[in-house]
Amino acid sequence: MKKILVIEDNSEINAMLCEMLHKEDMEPQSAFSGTEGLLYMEQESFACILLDLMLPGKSGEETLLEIRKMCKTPVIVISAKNDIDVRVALLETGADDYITKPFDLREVMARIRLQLHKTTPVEVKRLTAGNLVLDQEQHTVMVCGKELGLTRQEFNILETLMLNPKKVFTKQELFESAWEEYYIGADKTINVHISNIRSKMKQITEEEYIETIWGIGFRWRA
Amino acid sequence: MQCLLILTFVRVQNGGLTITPVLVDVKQCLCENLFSFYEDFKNREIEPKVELPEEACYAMLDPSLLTRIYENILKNALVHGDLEIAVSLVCREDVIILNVRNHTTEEHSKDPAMVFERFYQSDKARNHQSTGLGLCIAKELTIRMGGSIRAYYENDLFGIEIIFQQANRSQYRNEKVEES
Repeated sequence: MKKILVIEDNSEINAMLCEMLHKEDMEPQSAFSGTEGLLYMEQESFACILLDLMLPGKSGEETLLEIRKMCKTPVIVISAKNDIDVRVALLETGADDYITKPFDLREVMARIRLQLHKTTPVEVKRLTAGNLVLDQEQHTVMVCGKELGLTRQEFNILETLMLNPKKVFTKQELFESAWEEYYIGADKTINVHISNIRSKMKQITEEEYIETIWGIGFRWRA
Repeated sequence: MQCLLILTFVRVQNGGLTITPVLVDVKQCLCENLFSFYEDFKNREIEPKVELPEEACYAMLDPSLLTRIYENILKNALVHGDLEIAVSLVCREDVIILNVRNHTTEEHSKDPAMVFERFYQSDKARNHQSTGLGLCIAKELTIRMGGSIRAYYENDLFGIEIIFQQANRSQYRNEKVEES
């Protein structure tokens, strides 16, 4: 769940923003002053920060400067100050976006999402186990840094096993996951593929990754 | 689990159980049920000896009830068995024969005719919190689906044998055509 810090001294607006974030399956943290907000930031990291400018004590501008000394977390300033100079100055000192009050909740949400989207790193679709790395995008499997050179079916079988490391698969289930077709009862086919994968692995490592269960099923050896 | 068993038992007894037979791969269903007990076998430190045919074995059965039968007899073997549990499935001519055998020294297992009686259970079973209904239900369900079931005991091995009719080839073909 994404944690969002809401620094806003008006308790009604603060509660309204938090409620919206809750509904969007995010985890809001209210802070009612810049100092309080910075305190939370020392304790945990947030995915995005909503920052009011007119705060008691430390101003929003000062808070923003301190936030920027700490981290690069996206900050969206929410303020009644609609002066173009203020807006430009804030964007130049490190705000990522600026929303003027009164605001529409949908716009706030859209802008938060935009920031989250920017910061979410492109997920590398890789599965690793011990010395084995399976790349779901490239369809390659590396063991101890060497490529295994699996066929498409062998790769699919390995991927299926790795994705559900605790589950014992019947031969039919593996067959269907590997071929995405209807099973015709050819257990031997699966046996052959498993033994091919094993022998390819054996050329590189002694480690066993696939466990045979009772002679009738297979499981990933965690 | 106990409540569920009793409920099933009542339903089976008063005929309130609907049976919807479809073409089932009896072998695949057995494998899945066996694996659902994987942790239980591990905890008991028993590795079942499993013998299966190479090909799928089809029968016209209600899959959820077949699962119930498997669950009940496998659970029975796990509760009462020691040292050895063996499961075999054989397709011969037009029938499918399932055998689940377990080694046991329990006295009550030596009277196999009694094990299907409702609430029949050994003192040991009482400690395991079983209802004594599992095999009774397995028997009822098997018979309702046109199969036969028997229990036997020889050389410290208690066994349950279930026989179902294999689906005939025309049924099998129809199903295949519908799928494609």
